[in-house]
Amino acid sequence: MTNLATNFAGLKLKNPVTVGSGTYGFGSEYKRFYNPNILGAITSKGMTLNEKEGNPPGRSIETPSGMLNCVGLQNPGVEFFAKEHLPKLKEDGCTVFANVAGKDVDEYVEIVRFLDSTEVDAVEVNLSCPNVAEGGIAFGTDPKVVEEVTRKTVAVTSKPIIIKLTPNVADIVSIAQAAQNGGAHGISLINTLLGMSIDTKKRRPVLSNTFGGLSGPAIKPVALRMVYQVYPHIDIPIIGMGGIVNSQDALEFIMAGAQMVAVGTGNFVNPLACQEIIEGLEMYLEENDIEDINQLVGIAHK
Amino acid sequence: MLTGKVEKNQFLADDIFEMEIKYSNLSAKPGQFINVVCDGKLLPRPISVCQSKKESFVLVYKVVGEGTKWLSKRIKGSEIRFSPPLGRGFNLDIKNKKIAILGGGMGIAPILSVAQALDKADVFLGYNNDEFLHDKFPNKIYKSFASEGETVIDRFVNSKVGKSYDYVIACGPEGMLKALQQVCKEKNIPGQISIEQHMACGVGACLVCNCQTKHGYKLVCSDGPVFPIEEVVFND
Ligand SMILES: Cc1cc2nc3c(=O)[nH]c(=O)nc-3n(C[C@H](O)[C@H](O)[C@H](O)COP(=O)(O)OP(=O)(O)OC[C@H]3O[C@@H](n4cnc5c(N)ncnc54)[C@H](O)[C@@H]3O)c2cc1C
Ligand SMILES: Cc1cc2nc3c(=O)[nH]c(=O)nc-3n(C[C@H](O)[C@H](O)[C@H](O)COP(=O)(O)O)c2cc1C
Ligand code: FES
Repeated sequence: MTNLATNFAGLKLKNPVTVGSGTYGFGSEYKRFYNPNILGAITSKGMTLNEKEGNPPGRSIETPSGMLNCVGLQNPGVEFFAKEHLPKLKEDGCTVFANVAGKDVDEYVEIVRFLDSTEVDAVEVNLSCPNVAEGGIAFGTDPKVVEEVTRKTVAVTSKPIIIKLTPNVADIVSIAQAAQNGGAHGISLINTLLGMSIDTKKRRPVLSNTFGGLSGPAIKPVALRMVYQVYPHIDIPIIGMGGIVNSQDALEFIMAGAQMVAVGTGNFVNPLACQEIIEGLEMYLEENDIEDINQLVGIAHK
Repeated sequence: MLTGKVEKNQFLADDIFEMEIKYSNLSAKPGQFINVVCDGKLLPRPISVCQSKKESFVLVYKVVGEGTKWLSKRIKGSEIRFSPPLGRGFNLDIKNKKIAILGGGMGIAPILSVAQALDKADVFLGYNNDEFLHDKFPNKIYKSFASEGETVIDRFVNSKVGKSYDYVIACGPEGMLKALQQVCKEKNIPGQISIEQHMACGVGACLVCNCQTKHGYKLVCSDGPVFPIEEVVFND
């Protein structure tokens, strides 16, 4: 018998596979393909304190081996999530990571405090949003701010806090260490890379927000490099993501040091991607006579 | 994902192809689409189901980029992978109304199955140059050709019968739908239109396919692609 079960930040999960926030809605959308409770965890769409409308149409475009999006955090607000979506996910037997974002530190704290009284299993704090107080620079680009947001959110909840980092920085290791210093229970690597596309017929940017986040296989080498770079320098577990579309990709992230993997754009490429990745990991263990998936975490460093 | 085999893939007109795919009981409702996997392209391409038969279904598509170009090169016997039917189709519970169905360009494909279900309705088809699919409609047909300087909306507005309809169903380019919305507003005619937006997931999970409506943003893939004509807000 092989073991896919993993322990992530104190949570016992049936396997190390979750989904990238914002690519899986609130769990019900993919039910027509398989039961979402087969996943180690479901990571929700990013949520803010109040409902957010998001950006105007012109939110996505395919690029070579990837896609750009500028959804702009459209979401119904955290309270609506807790009332409408969370009970259904729990009824289905899902482990739920709630992804959250705030416009300032206080909003992050308030959302996490609110979620503490709900049934979510962990909170993934998205630090890729523009920080209004710092003049629009993303929270996740300054180690001091990362540590502050982490410390203040950890303080208001008993749930594990996972800090999700942006790759749009020069030194990812120092940012990851800042999250650990702030008391984070885990980190997610990576969010999308900033990019753009121009419509040559209209002679204008394609996306309504001009810039958007690049995701999919195009960013996999960058994401993998960051997981590999950060792994030896922190003691908290990593959720690796960025371009994972099959079990081969997932294995690379695990071997680079990811305790869990998340499938984002891969769900759009193949709605059965997560299911096939879980099966593929199992098969890899069997074929290679490995008992426990956890034996592979970080193995590429040895 | 489902798999079917190409039964037929033939050129119709103006870069437009008709592909018949062998697959039993797809049972798509008029107006629904499928996400078609195109080799070499990361994301699947949404294409409306033009006709859904017992043992096969038909797609009619225009070659506009690499994905649809790849589709046009599939020969009889090639495998095609696709999603189950997605989106909400047309609500056809409107049989006692005097209905006009309008299709412009590629928008003619999604309305064929609607017209076949509502054979008492009249159909206005707007072509650029060469006609296609016109022989499949069981309805009374009015054709217009952009190459002759007449749009399908001109034809609809100017035709004597145009005044007597009390319901419209339409699919076509944004400019056409916008013009029709204006006409319907003036004449107080309700209806349904099918619209397009770039998609990724096709099932309502990624939120990239939003369109502006009077009730805020809606998702083209899961709230649509069919919307009440009065509800959609078009850009200037
Ligand atoms: C619900 C729905 C139903 C559709 N039904 C049909 C149909 O029955 N027949 C048909 O020919 N086409 C249909 N389309 C449009 C079709 O999806 C695009 O033409 C196709 O995705 C282009 O792919 P490509 O790889 O060939 O081109 P690309 O290289 O991706 O793009 C070429 C051009 O097509 C545009 N485009 C790309 N994706 C879309 C899209 N999803 N919607 C609109 N424009 C797009 C791009 O802006 C670009 O200008 C439908 C679209 C939607 C949303
Ligand atoms: C359409 C879309 C929406 C996203 N929304 C969010 C979000 O709300 N919060 C967040 O932290 N990340 C969001 N992301 C980033 C993904 O969760 C993931 O980190 C990124 O896409 C890289 O993984 P991938 O290449 O597998 O997609 C979004 C990505 C996409 C493509
Ligand atoms: S395409 Fe993903 S929500 Fe419509």
